[in-house]
Amino acid sequence: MSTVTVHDHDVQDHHHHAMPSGWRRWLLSTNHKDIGTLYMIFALVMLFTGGFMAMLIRAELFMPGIQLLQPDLYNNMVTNHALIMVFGAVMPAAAGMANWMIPLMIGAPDMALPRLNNLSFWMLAAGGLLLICSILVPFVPGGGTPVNTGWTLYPPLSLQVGMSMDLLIFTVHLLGISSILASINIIVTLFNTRAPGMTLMKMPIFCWAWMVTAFLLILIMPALASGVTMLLFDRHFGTSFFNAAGGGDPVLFQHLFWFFGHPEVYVLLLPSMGIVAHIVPTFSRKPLFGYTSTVGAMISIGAIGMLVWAHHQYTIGMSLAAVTYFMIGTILISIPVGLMILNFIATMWRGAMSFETPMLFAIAIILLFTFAGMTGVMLAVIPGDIQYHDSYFVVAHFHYALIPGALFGLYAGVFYWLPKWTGHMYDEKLGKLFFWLTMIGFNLTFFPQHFLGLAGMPRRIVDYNLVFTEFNMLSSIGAFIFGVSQILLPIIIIKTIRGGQKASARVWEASEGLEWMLPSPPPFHSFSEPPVIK
Amino acid sequence: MDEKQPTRPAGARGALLLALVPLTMFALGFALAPLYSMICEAVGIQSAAAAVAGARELAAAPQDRVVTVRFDTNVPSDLPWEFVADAGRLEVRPGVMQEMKFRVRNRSDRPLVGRAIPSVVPWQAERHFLKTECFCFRDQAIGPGESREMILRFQLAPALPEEIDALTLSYTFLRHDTAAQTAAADATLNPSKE
Repeated sequence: MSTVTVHDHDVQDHHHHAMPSGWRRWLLSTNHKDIGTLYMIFALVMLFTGGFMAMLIRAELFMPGIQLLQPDLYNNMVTNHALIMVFGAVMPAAAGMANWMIPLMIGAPDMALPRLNNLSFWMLAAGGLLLICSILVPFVPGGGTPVNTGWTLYPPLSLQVGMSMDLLIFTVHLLGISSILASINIIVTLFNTRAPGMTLMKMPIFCWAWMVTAFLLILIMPALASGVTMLLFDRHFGTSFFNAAGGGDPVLFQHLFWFFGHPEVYVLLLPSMGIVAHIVPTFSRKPLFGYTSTVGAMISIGAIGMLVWAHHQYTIGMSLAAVTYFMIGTILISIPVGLMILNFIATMWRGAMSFETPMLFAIAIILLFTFAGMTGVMLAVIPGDIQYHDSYFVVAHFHYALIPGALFGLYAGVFYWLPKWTGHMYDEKLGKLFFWLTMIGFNLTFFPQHFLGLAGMPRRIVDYNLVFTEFNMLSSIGAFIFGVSQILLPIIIIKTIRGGQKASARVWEASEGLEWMLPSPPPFHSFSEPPVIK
Repeated sequence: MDEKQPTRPAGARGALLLALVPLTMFALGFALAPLYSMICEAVGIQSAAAAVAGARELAAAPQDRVVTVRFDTNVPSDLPWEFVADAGRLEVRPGVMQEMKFRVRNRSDRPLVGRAIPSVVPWQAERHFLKTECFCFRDQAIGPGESREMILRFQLAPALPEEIDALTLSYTFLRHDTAAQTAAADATLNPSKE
């Protein structure tokens, strides 16, 4: 990073109006730090809601037979676990970190459009409320059946579900608009409010990761929105977009869904990879190896990722030419992903490494996400996929991709930036305990599911054959360890907010960038006058 | 920085321009409903829609050229059946429906089950040989000494490559009587025997 001048009065900033207090501070907030905090609190609540559903699912699957959940409710839990984790936990947490960190990283006073920022968050909150209504309405007499389609919402089943599906459709609309607005805000911020002298190719890599993510979001969210809108029309206005009886084609929905759904994986992944790309250099005490190629890799992941959606649909009866194209495209993505991972490893090479909690998470991500990449290539190959399709092998694969690839990246970010946000160091011992319990729990949960899938256990079914019992018990025990150990996270966060060793401005020995020039915690208004980057 | 002066935030114009992207994509989602099958057809991605298009080919106008279709019949030695076509060859115009009779006689003294497997030579002609009625791929149970007439209705698709002016349709009757099927054949044939 180049030399940076921060004027003292920017930091202290006495010119602005007094900080609003009480509920008005949060509800009417246009401050990027407060909105970032709101996003992350929302994400944490949703993480535990979705996690509770996962616990119910694993409790039900502890033994064969139906003990705890009726099939419809079980499938509803599977559906909402996915939707809550994707739209409620991971995306808002990543958006929260973007809000907090992007203006600090590029030397901007705030996001470019602060009121839009407020709107984005509160639409998200409204969407979350509607989603909870969608879960609860089947328990009310006359509420109809719960959404039991899985998060893919495929018709014709989704045309037959009760009114909880309508609530879910509106939820998707709200969440979609919220994340489109947030993405537009991030793009505009990155293009217009960078400190003088910070060219695009000097931008911190987390900002680049979010740039690609935001562009992906504005391209793909509308596809999902149009898909569910057509579902709504088919359900209530007598159209036949997907209704085969009226000449519609249910496969069209699958294309729309996966045109959104596949790039969505990269939406979840890229911000976390951006975080890892900050943590690995800091704790290796070396600059990031191959900054330019990492940026290039992220852009190519986004671009190729937009063009390979139908590898989720190999079994729908596409022609050989079409599936071959999707197979080759999918396997091609492993090249930029591999490049990114190799850059991380090359950054560690001969570095003076230390292993604080963020770095432990970063290393675990590199290891476990690569493993998910390998099962990903297996699944990309058509004849293999026909076998693995809709089995627990797929479940194991995408949990290995998304928990390390997205969630652990966010955990790493929390530990990395928590001292900056709160002004206090977190408890390193608790952090490491949290890391190891999480690792043991996670791997014990999902590793056996590979074997279950290869042995033929189908996903999204409440019961299973007796031969799968042992691995399922193992997986459930792992899930309980995983689930219970997550309680440490809010404990650590609250403990850090309330006190602890005072954090310096730079926090870490080798952290680089504008955000580390400000005191910890940064003042309510920062960089009112842009820093000069020479 | 003066707070009171109302200024347009930097990038408001950019934000409006960017908003066009999701709006376009949303509209494109709806446009896909009709475009989807049109694109598949235009770029030749075969799908269910293409199969319907193939069926439509049947209704296409007959052509003037004449193609020789030869019929070949085979029975392996473990099936004591006689199997012949009414004619060894037929001059066929693509696009015109044709009919050919085949006769089978069971020369043995017990009921037997056979199954006819077709094959077309040259293989390039196979997908243009459209059978609308065929006795193949189905178990045919025939009583002792019984003889039966079987009908094949077909036409050659107009898309049959120009260079193919003769082709052969070969049928082979394979014995297909598991113990259970022989019993079933007995049961169905017994009433007719009396």
